[in-house]
Amino acid sequence: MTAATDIRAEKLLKQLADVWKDLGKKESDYAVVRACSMTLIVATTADDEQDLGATLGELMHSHPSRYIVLRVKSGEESTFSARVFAQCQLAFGRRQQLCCEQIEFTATRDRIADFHAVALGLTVPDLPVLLWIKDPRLLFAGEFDPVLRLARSVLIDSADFEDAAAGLADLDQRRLAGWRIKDINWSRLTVWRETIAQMFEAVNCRELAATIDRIDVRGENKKPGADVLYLAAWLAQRLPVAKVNTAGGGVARLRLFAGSRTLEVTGAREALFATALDGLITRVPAPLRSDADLIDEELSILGTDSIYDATLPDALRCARTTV
Amino acid sequence: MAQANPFQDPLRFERRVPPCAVVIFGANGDLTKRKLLPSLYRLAFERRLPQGFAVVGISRTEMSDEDFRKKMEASVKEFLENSPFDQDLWDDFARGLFYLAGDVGDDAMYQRLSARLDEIAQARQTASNTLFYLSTQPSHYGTAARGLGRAGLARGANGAWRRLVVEKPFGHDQTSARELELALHEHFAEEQLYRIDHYLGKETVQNILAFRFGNPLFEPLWNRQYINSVQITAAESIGVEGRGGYYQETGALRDMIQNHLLQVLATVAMEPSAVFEATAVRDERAKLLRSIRIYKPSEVDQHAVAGQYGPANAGGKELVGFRQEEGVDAKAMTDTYAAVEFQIENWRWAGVPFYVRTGKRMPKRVTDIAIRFNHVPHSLFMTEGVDTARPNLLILRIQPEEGISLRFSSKQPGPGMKLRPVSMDFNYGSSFGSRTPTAYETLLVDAMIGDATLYTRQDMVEASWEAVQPILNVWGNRTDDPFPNYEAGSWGPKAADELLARRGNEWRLA
Repeated sequence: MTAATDIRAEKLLKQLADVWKDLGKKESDYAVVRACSMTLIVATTADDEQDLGATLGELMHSHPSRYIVLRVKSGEESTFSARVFAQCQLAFGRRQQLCCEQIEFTATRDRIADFHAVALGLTVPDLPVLLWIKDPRLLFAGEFDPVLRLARSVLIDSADFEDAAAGLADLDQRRLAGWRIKDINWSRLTVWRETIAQMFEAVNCRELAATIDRIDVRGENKKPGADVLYLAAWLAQRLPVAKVNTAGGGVARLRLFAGSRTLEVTGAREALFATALDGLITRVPAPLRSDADLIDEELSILGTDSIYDATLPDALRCARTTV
Repeated sequence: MAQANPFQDPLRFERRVPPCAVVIFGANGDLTKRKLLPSLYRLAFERRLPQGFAVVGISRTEMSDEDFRKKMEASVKEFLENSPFDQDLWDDFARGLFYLAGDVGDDAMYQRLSARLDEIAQARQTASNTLFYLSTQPSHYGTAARGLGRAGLARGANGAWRRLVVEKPFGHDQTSARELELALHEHFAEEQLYRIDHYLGKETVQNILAFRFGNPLFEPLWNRQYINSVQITAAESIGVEGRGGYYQETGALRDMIQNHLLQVLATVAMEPSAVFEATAVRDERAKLLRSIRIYKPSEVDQHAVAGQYGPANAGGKELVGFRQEEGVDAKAMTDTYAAVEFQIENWRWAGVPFYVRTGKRMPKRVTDIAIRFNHVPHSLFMTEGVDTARPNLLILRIQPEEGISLRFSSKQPGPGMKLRPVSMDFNYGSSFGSRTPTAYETLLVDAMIGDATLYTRQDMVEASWEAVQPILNVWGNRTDDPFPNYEAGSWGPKAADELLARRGNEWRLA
């Protein structure tokens, strides 16, 4: 652990270099390979060391990165500390260890600006920087603003928004200001969207599309959720519907009505059931996905996700209509 | 033209398979049990298959739909690779499995198949799109294609597509390959034919294209100016494993080099296509195959070596020779090993030897491509008269650990200026973490989607037969008996080392 007065980027980088030297000495049987595809800054308030560690450990398989973790601590006593370490996995047929660097900071809110100053010198040159705001409350905290200046790509989970409409409004504002928004909750909808896309591969469904006049998306929770709004907005953009109904959060069922005919997709335990026009029901595997898996999907999109960018403002409109 | 599906999201979803049915001839065979059904089930697990997807299995054995489903369930459980078995998903998938008993030579069977496909199209909304998969003995390919054609099954109504997948071998020699072509083309157009070469479906073989044409770093070096030689190795540690009878008639050159390895060679050496689209990519592969020098009979022994393994004791284990294998003639002249130096007669590759070798009962199972760059033009780093700089080596590993390694020279720590080779490794599995699809998963999806990029075309088949036929002719007319000429568990006959030594090269220890 580095004392507060010593926390400088150069010093932390020197400590990282020492970590590599030590690893090389200790692991005489295995070569140690440093791998890095980006800088991932994680900002969190929760005391979820184990969960976060496991997620980053899983993520490093497909996105080896320099991880910079900021834990924002409550408390009156001003704190700012840092430690460096490496996470390794046996790769390459178990002959070599693949290792990623991690720098972990703990700071009280009054020291967040200090974190910003140090972190500026720690991002890996020439590689992308992504900011994962694990606790979305930080997004709305004024003292957190300096951290937001570290990256133009932000990863968030809108499922954690207290108020889905307010959260989406904030994300949309940032999108308009040139931010690249990545929402883990949008990735959760991939299986739903994929199932619908597959239904519309059938000619009879495709023919019906022009006559669909009502969309109904329901969540399993009472509290309105961004996912329900996203899905309804995405569908409405693609169908000439007159009416969109949404309710709750955590998508559980969607129905598309064309007069007396209905297409339906229902969620069940680790599966979706898609009911086509002729009543044929197909079971679609939808295993529970870990945060790392969902983030992996988001990170695999290197450029702009134009479909998400187009859906976000419409989801906000849906939220306002529902309210 | 079909209206585009507005719900597609190519950034997030894999390519969509349209509604269709797959008809497998030879549904009771090994390929169906080990590869086809496990791959189709896995595609269902990955949500790649359309709703209402159907499979119709055909073979001579009498079986009900239910019997076929049970049999396939056992096979999928046994042969599914790196993947969990989900009983609920299987139950749903199995509702789309159907079976028809019949003989490929019986016209009435095709009428029954036609009626069955109509029922299935109605019940499962397959839109009558059908992929016929010939997983039978090669001698039945022509009969099955004609049977389908005579029953009107080669053409779909109302825009429905019909495609025919054919497994290798595409003929036993140049003449039989042409006969097969005529039989297939009687009722099917070339664009309906998908000749499968599972090597081209392997992720690493596809990655050769990504590596070559997605990285401008190597392209300027990819020619005779910088590359000294290329070695393609496909070694198997096993013997003929009960397939002695079949293998005796085939041999290593026919079984591996004529198809798989020449396709790999073409992928390594082809010119970039203008677009990544089936016709353009296959045009370039075909062009390359047509550039291979055809040897005169008198040149064959200078450029090709045949081998056959004899008995040996390897690691305390007694290994029998090929001629002692079950079902093999005691005087069999089959090549269980083949090494050929191919020469490509074009501006890019003139003078660069492409050494291709394959064999059974080698020390280990490995398939890779090694590109050896030229030596430095002038050596600076001599130690006691020996140049310590080694030529750069780029290794594209196809199996077992798919990946890419680059060997370069680095200063050995300490006093003096001694160089030593070091390796930069990229491992496909561990770098991307996720499970890579099997070759059959990739190729089945491609055929259902209508993407023939990774399938072999008739002109490619002909060009590769043309390249190996003179060698087969010389080997087939041999009067002496040089076999066995390598021990089981070794890297092949001595003559194969001499083949490379003529140009100052040597085989890598893969």
